[in-house]
Amino acid sequence: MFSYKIDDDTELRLLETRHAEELDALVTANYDHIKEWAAWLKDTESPIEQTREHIKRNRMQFAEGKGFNIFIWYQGKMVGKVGYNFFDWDNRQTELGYWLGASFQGKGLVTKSCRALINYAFNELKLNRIEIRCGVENTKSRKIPERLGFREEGILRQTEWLHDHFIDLVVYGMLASEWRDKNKS
Amino acid sequence: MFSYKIDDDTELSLFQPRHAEELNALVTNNYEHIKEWSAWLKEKDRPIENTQDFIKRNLMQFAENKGFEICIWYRGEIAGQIGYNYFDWNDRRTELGYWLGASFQGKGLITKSCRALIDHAFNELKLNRVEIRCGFENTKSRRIPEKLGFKEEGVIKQAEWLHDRFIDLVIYATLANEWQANKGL
Repeated sequence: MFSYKIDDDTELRLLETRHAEELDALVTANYDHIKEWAAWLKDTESPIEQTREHIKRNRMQFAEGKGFNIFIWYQGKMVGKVGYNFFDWDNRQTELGYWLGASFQGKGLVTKSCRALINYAFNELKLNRIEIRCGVENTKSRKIPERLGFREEGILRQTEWLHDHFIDLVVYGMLASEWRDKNKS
Repeated sequence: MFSYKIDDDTELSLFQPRHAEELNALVTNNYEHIKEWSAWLKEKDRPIENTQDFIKRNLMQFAENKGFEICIWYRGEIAGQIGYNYFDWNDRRTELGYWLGASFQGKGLITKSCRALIDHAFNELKLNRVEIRCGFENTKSRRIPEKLGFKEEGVIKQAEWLHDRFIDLVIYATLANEWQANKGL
């Protein structure tokens, strides 16, 4: 019922369990594309019950104020995900994560969605810092924080196990004060 | 972040912890008005913790798909509350409840909000039956289901303990196939 409207074609919504089939189909159709950079995607086919459980856990996480994933709807179809991986209320920070179905690339959907999440995090949740971490070789993903004006803060070496090897992650950061200054002009 | 837009002045959203003060103030300022027909409102000076707990419990209920209460926003202010008291997924049924701050009456906010929740219940949640129960003497409240074309099904005698006495409740209901036919118009 609730959504965040980005533009006439695009909105963001929390998932409900009735969306499990559509989510499964999207992930399955984009298995190789997502798996390339996502450690969480392991099985080619996970039972639909697992997807429903995953959606339930995400709604719990949302209810408990611990972070949440939202799905991007483009022209009425589920096309990808953006989310707050966690909320650290003590240190007032969060980290954004995202993936997009391959055929929906090139429309700025992830950039626009991230912009909405960043505005919400700083303006409504009064957080102070947002991070985005990308595989060093994941050039497509790195373009998102770069386009949004994040600062490249450093490279964490061999910091993530991606299926069968360690990868280095680049850390990008944005502070509330920096975002405010950027959006004044 | 997520809302359901009814019109340029009115939208619906879940209550979040940061809304506690404004909600508590609205309830306190409308004590007599709300208490008249609401068993849940007992104290004139409602402690903020009660409202904070309500918001937490409501988010949990939402996450668990057991029902949820929504905030009615009118021109950026909290005007009242409407919600699905529960979801019975076996019987595919729900019940709506609502209250409105006295100064927000006369603008059709409850009728418009009910229409949105009923549409969502039938079209998205694929429920079959929506009920509204009103105190027999609560004429203002009874006008809502009557305006929306609900059928008056019966009067349950001494169905609810309201502060210091039992009251009778009128049951109104609409079914999915009826609603599609008349759209509450």
